[in-house]
Amino acid sequence: MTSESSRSRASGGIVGLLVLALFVACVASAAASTAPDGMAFVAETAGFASSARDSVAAASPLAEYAVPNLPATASTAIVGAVGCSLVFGVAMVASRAASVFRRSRDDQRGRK
Amino acid sequence: MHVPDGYLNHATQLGTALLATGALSVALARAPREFTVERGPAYIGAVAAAVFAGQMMNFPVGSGTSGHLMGGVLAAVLIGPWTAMVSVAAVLIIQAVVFADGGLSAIGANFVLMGPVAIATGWLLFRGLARILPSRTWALGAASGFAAFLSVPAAALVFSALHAIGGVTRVEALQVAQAMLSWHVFIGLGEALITVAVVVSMRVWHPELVRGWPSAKARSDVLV
Repeated sequence: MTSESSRSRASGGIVGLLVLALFVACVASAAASTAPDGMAFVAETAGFASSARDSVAAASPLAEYAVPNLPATASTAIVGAVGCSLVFGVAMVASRAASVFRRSRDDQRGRK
Repeated sequence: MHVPDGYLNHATQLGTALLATGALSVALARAPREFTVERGPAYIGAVAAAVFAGQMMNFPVGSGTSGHLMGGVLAAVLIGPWTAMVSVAAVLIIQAVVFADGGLSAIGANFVLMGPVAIATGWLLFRGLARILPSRTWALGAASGFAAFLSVPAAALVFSALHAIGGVTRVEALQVAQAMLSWHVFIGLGEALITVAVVVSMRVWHPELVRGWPSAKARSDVLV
């Protein structure tokens, strides 16, 4: 299989995974449980929940995965789309940068 | 399992931040060796996005409690352990900065837990199982599921230790560890189910996108 055709075959998987991610983040997560997660629950019962402090980022417009003044479905959709896009972008750019840096370092050392 | 600001004292936050920086640096250096033409930056981005989405989908684990995917082992089986660490870092950074999910001063601790701790325990377990199991898809499911399952209480245990060492509020450490472990065993089941579903689906439809398989036993397995 040529590099070109294997890459185009794989792109189906990439797109599929992204579609799944967007569906879960934008649509399905509206049905997610709102109960405190395991750590928060243990903190509550063991007595150290009160030590929690608000993050500086609590001032972000998307804090707590909600857009203020929007109905829940729209808010979830936006939060999911923004989050997935940003994470996708950061991970992709970081990987590309790491790969480029590694290749230039290998070239410098005369390695293939 | 996102630690907020305030749970851990400054020394512990600093210590875990240093550990996290070290681990992430190593991961960034070693990740490119795990890339292929198909499993390149775009796929890595997609895996990271899927982990982010999975973490939004809290599931109930008993009345009054929920759990969510950590995704470290899932990512590791798809793209390799070092690349998985890079992806988890991307998820945690966006969560902390944009959504205030996980404290900014606790981001080192959160990365240590959901990155190196979860991925190392899960990956080592996965590879160990892969060595003794046949190269069949059910074995991939069993190995990745079991590894994903155990990665969750492992991270919970390390959090308990971190809190015992540097928790701002003095509480009974063993009680915390016991409670964390019992809940996270159940959350681990959810992690395992999601991991198996995604990994096996990928293996069936796009085997070239699953780095962790074929197993160590059958490196020459023809994937196409």
